[in-house]
Amino acid sequence: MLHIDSLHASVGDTPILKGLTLHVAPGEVHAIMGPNGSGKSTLAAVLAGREGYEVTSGSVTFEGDDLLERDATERARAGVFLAFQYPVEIPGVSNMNFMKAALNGKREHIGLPPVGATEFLKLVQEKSALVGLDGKLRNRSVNEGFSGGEKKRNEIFQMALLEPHLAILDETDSGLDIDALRIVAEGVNAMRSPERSFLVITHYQRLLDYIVPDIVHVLMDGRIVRTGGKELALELEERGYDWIREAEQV
Amino acid sequence: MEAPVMYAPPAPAAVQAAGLAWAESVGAGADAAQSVWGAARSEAQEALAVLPVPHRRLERWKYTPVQSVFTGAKADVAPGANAEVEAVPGLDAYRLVWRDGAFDAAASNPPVVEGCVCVPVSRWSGEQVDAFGAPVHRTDWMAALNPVCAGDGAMVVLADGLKLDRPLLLHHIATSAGSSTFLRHTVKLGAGAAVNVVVWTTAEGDAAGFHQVVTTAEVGPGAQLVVDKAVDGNAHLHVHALEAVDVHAEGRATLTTAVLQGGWVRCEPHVRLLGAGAHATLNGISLPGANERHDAYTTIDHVVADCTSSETYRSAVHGGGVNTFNGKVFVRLDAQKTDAYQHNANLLIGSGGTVNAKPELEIYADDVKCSHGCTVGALDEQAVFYFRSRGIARTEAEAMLVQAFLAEACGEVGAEEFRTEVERRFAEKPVA
Amino acid sequence: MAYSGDDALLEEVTGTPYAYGFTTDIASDKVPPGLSEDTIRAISAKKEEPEWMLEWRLAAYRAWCAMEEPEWPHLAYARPDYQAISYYAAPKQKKTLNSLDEVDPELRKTMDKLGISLEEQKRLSGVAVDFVMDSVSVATSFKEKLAELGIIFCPMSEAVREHPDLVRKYLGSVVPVRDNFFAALNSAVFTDGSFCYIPSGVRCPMELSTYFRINEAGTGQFERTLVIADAGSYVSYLEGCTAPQRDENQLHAAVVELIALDDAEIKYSTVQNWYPGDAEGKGGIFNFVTKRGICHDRAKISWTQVETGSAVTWKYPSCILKGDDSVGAFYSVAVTNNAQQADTGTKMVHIGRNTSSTIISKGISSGRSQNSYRGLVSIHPSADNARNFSQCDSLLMTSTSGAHTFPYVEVRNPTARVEHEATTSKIAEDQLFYCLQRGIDEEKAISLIVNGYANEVLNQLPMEFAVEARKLLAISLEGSVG
Repeated sequence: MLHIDSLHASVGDTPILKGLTLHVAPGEVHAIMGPNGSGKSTLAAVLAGREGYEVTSGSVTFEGDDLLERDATERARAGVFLAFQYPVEIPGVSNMNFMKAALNGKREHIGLPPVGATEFLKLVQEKSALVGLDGKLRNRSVNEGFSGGEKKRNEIFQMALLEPHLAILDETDSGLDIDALRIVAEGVNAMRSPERSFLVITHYQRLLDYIVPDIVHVLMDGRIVRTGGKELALELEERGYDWIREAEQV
Repeated sequence: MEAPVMYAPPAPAAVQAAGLAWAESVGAGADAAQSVWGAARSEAQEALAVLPVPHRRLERWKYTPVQSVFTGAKADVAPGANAEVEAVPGLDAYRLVWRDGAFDAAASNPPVVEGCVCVPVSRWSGEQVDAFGAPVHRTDWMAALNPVCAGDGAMVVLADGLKLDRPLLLHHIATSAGSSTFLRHTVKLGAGAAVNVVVWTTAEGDAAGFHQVVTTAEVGPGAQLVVDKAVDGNAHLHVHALEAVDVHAEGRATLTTAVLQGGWVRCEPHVRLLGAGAHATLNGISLPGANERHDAYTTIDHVVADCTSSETYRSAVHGGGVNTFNGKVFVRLDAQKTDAYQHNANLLIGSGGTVNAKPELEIYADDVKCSHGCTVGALDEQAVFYFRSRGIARTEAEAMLVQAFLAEACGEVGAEEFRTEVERRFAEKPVA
Repeated sequence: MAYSGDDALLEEVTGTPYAYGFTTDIASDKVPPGLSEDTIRAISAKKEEPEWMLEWRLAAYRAWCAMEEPEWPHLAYARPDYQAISYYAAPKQKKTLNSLDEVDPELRKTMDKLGISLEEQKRLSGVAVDFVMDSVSVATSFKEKLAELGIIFCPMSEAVREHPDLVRKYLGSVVPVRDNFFAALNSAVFTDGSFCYIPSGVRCPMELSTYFRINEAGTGQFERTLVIADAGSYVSYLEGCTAPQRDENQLHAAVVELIALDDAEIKYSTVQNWYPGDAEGKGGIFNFVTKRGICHDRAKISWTQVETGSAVTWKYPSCILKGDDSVGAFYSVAVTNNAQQADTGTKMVHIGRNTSSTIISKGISSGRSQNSYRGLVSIHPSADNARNFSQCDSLLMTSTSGAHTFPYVEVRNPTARVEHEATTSKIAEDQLFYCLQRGIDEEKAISLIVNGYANEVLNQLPMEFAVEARKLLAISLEGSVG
């Protein structure tokens, strides 16, 4: 589904990704771990099409098409979803209106008419239950006054509603306590399917106890330096990142 | 892009005539020293003939009436008793002292430091002095008086990298009962230089008339200028204190103004931020009581991108007093990534006081963060009660709360002794 | 700085033709251009006014002659030539109409185009419409229903004839003739407007509304509106405007006076969408309006406005909080684009005890426009326990537009509590990207965010108006209709 080949990307004059290669098949859950500054968030931003990042070489193919050629909105409508590490607040715009606009954008892309009011309400109720998102929060402005946990849950709710093919979770566990973490993970797990892939970006192994990955990669200094099964995550937990650094002489 | 020009409707004929007549009377007697202010002086002379005299319809003079200035005491009269006045007790500073506009060498103690020039202009024999800062004398009539009428002032030049080891006190003492004096200070800081200037105006006893002190300053790249200004006036002396400061890249200017007392006091700091990374902090506090009018008109001009500014002005107005805050923040077209913060808080204590606040934002760039806030209210009764429940009398409780309120705007003074003295004076001021 | 697609987006916006630009070709009965005592006598005669009304106008005209047009530093416009304007234009038709059938078919077509077909209005919302076209009111509906409740809602010219006592008592009581240059002009030459009187204790069951059109070239529009809510009554009044495309600037100098007697409440909402001029700023409407309300004890007046049109806007809907426990509110969204200029805000004058006022102003500037908020909060020495809260925000959509805030706060009572806050910013990159990543295209994203920004104000509008207002906001900033 996703093929990243030798991707180089910079922020301003500073190169961050230095030849990153990664292949994700449909239905797979990949974890990306790495020390701070390794390029994890940059990878998420580049895949989602955020301004301010320049791809200097390499390619990214998503479901057979060149992803880098499309702008952020097109990528989203094609089925790429990014759950932000720090979801922003948008005062005055209700969660409902926001989601309706997003859903209709996607429907327009695949040639469907805008969603009807009753159908939308049904969808919303269904997906809120999935994630345990409180009805009161639904009617508030996007993320305004939400706690950290509530913001993350809102991200997963949006993901459930938009049904992406590729979901990138950017440090979804940051700022969450164990209970919030479990609820968020349950929501993600409920979304797992053979047609859907996940890129779970995380610094700590803890999240991976709940969202069990098929493949674990270590991102260091802008490249994937090691790939393994879920045991690799446990090894990192025990030994940190230094042993890999030494081994790769990075 | 030029700074937007202020609209200036003409003054009523009678007012214009009165102003010009008064200016005549105080302009005469200006001595040779003023030719040192070259271009500024000739520009100012032209401006005086053309600009409108301050009047009610001029936005920047809307709240400050000038009739009492024009009808007040006129030309120089013999100076009063030669009192010893200690401006800031305990402050170990270099000092230049003027009495009724005349330099007092005996009381002065200028620095003798390599790379530092610090002399009264009346004893300056070098070439003409530059004018720094926004050319306010071209656009404001009252400011234009200064280069024309100023008889003396300090000339301070610090070489690159020179950080003056002690504060510099510029002290003016007004004693005569019929004087109008004009001082013009010039401060130039080379790259990386630093100085703490204390500008203190004292009115003795029966001193009356008009005193104007203008400080023009250039803060070179990476340099730091801290100005602590205090006005210790009286009922009859009109005091107009104006600063025009230019701050270059990575430079910092911090101006704190404390108006201790005075029947008519107008403070006007103007700062221009001219290089990326420049920063200006403007703070002010005042405690006007009956028959006192303390006005602050501030201007911060963000000319280029990546500059920051912060303004905190606080006043506690007692019955019969007036406080005005008119703060203007300009952000010019190319001044992207500006971060400007402005806050004005006012307390009204007892009836009969007046607060006029006009915090203005004029913004032409879009990638900026600008905010301002303004509050007017009374002391928190709950807080007062808390003090009283601990056995502290109401008047004392109120005084302590006012002190705390004002102190919050006093956080960036250069000399601790300055702050201590200001707080002591406020605490002692009779306010009932 | 500009985000990607900014310029393309803006081009679309300025390229959109003004949707309502058209003219109705009906023979107009015009008074020759120029302003003199004779003009005024002619207008008064054409309207068959009583002597006292003519005298009132003449006194106003004489006052105007002695006044000077004001100058403001943030508005630059070509001064209208007052002698080149025709001060009266009435479409030729019968004097009184009992049913819609009697309305000129051309006029009916105009009304349809404006989307205010009376049929629809009657059926759906029960809104009474008093249609004003070129200074003479043509159609009035629901008069009978309102009459049952004792509510008077009619054109000003009719009120002068049928209810002279009320008019004489209140006209000019809130905006005196000498208040300002444009108010004096209006008082001399006003041709029509709305008059509304709600009797004691009556709650007006429907929203009252009026539409304006400026039709003829060279015709200034001088509407005069007077709304009186007697003790304990309530009325919600809507004002919405459209205007045709023209080359020469057109002057609109209206005066609106609101009187809320003890325990009464008046809600006055305006959606203003007048021709803003072309992309260079030529040919748009000058909107110089004086709007003021006075509150008696425990009365409440709230002004809600969405301003998106006009080349130059100068208006400060104000409240005089004379009565004890009275309340004033001002909610405004002012959008400027291309070369529009707006200098607008409010004045809240606190005189009585325990008064309170709220000001929420949201400015949005795009293109090369200049958008200024100018407000006054004045607390008199008599105004014990006055409360005011003001929030004035500016959203800059382009790097070439300007947003300015000039709040005047004058407090002379120590028990007052006044708080004013203002922020200026642009649409945050983060917010925009968040929407994009959810598959919302840029135009829609901006529309969502801007609507969210203006939400607090838009929520104050009556339902039907709110829908039109949101659409208007989207149109004026994006170019494509949702």
